[in-house]
Amino acid sequence: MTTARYYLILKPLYVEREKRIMEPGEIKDFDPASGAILVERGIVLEIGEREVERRKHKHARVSDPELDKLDYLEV
Amino acid sequence: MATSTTMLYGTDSIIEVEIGTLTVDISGSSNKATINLEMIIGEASVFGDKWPQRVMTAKNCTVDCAAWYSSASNEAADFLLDWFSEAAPATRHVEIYINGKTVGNRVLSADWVFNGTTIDLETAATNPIPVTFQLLNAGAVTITPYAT
Repeated sequence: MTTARYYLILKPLYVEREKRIMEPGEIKDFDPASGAILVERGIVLEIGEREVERRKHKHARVSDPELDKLDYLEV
Repeated sequence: MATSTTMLYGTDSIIEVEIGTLTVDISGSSNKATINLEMIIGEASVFGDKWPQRVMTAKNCTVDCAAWYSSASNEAADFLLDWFSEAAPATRHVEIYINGKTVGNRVLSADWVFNGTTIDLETAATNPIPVTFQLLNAGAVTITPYAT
């Protein structure tokens, strides 16, 4: 059994389970194999649970420049 | 220069169309989708300057498709003829998965208008009846990576 990991979406991404295009700044869990492919292609960024919680708390939807400021991404 | 290892072939592409409230895969009765992405250019030239100014003012997308004529419901020919027969034809949502539903591959998604179809009947033909049709975008077209 694989454990889901969390990914920050960097480029618009059509997600079958959601039946919609998810926008940059949204967070989605993917299975590690799928996520690895998306990371490799620069579409998503893997983030840790603490970062997920922080973003939920702030209701954050970040743009790319803000990503550069993040210094404690857990991967 | 590294040779790409991620080149795709079109053989496993999928075309999904909206029929009523259903999303139907018509790939099994179609065999070609030529996606045309057009940038519409505005141009202005002025006295004394041989070089015109150009701006990209608009975008357009058309899809030229080919299918086989079949008699079953919810296949390509049925979809097109139903659409054409509507009293007040409305836009429909169509998605084209470029080389299938594989994570990372792209999906083209939009609402479309139906610009007509041709159905070629020929006595000497040995293949099934070919059907071609063209879709024109009605609003924005998105081409995004696919994930599950």
